[in-house]
Amino acid sequence: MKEIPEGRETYTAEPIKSDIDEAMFLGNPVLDNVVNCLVALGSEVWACKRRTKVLEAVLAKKGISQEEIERYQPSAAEVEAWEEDRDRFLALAMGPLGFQSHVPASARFSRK
Amino acid sequence: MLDRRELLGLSTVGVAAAVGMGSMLKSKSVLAAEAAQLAADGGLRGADGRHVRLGELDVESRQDYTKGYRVLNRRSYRQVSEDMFERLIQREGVDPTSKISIDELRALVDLDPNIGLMHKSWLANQRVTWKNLQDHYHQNADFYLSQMEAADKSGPGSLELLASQSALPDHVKHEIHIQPGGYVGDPFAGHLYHYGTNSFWFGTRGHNEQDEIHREVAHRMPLPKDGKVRRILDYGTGVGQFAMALKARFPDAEVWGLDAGGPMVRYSHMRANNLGIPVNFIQSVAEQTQFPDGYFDMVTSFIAHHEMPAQVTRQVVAEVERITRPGGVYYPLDFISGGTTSTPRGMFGRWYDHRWNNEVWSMEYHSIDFTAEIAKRDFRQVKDAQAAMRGFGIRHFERV
Repeated sequence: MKEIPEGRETYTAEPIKSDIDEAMFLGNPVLDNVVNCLVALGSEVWACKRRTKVLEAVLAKKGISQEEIERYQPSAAEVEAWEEDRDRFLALAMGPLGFQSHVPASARFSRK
Repeated sequence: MLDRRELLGLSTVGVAAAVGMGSMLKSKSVLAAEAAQLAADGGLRGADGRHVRLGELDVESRQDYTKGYRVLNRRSYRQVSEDMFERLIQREGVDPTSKISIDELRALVDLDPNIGLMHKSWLANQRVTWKNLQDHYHQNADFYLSQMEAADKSGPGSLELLASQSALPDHVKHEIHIQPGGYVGDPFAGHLYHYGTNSFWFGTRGHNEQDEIHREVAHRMPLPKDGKVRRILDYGTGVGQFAMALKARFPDAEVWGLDAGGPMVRYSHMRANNLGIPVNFIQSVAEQTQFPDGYFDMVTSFIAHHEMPAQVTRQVVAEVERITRPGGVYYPLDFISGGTTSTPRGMFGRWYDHRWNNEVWSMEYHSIDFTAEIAKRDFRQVKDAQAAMRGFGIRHFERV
């Protein structure tokens, strides 16, 4: 996540963090993390599908054919920008595999 | 230099239409016409009525997905999970009609991974909801901070922020609903809360992008017997939706929205200004408002009390007693409370929401009878009062 630019007043205070990223509901932290990934991955897949629907609708209105899309060669700048977005995608969708889930679902709620 | 309304995609036409909206819901054709006008005017991605579209198509699409997932979870997974829980308690010899405590519930929840999967997937979806939004606002922090900074100094409503955040008590600093940073810790807490709760409303009561639910409830708020509503306070105002709805219902009243979260009141103020709604927002805890004695004709809160400790609820009621004028109305909305035990099925949902949706104070809230707490003070409960919102109690009180 990007840092807030320095010198900007944000009117914030230090929060008391939840322990949700350490929760284990499925008896095996690996399974918990896989569920995190699947749900996140689903959001990315749907975003892509929805964007495609928008693109197809806009392109059709502009008279652009499917064949032109298939033949398109991205520029170096486009490749670089797309790779940056791919890395963000991976962090969101696959990052949860690295969570350390160990607090059982029945753990007492002691943090106040 | 770009005008703030241009940045938001809110045209003069759109703002004027919003101001004249009153308490009536707009027709679909009016909303469509507004959206078309806004889109034609440029800006970010335009707006649909008073709902500013999220800043990027992909962010909006992920939000659309998590909203849909929430509905799937509610309509399908939850039923399956509750059925499994019923079988589990039968297997464990627990009487489904008996009342059980949190500890008795805790002893059951780890026994069936299928139940865990339903809750796990719900929370994973909640996590994606917040992360998607937070990433967007932080990636465009300069832009969104500039919008709030410009709004801080403009009207029609006023904004009062604490000079220092260090005095905020710990009880307001939790990440309620696992919202990252909670209400005080992220500069875009108001943005996150607004779009996140749009999904919550859609999954539970229906669309609220046009503040439909808040406006409907505001329309049902009872008047003092003398009919005079000159000043209104909505504490725990969140992103100010109920305060703005009350202003629409009572256009001549001086309306205040109060919240402990600095980013929450900043966002509320900016949104109200963009819509041309003159509501005043102030950052403060509700138990110590600094308003004069007997200042308000009406005091409300919209589902705020289950997010504060029981003792603070008592302090807030005492403060409301102080600032409400004789004959004034006090009508706080929140869940029906009273009791630390419930049926296994009732405790099942309550426990998970408390523990893992990080509703830190909800069990304390349920441990007291909120309505009875108000009745202990100089308030008289109105007989045969109507519910302003189904499922959230009928706490219509008059200040003695």
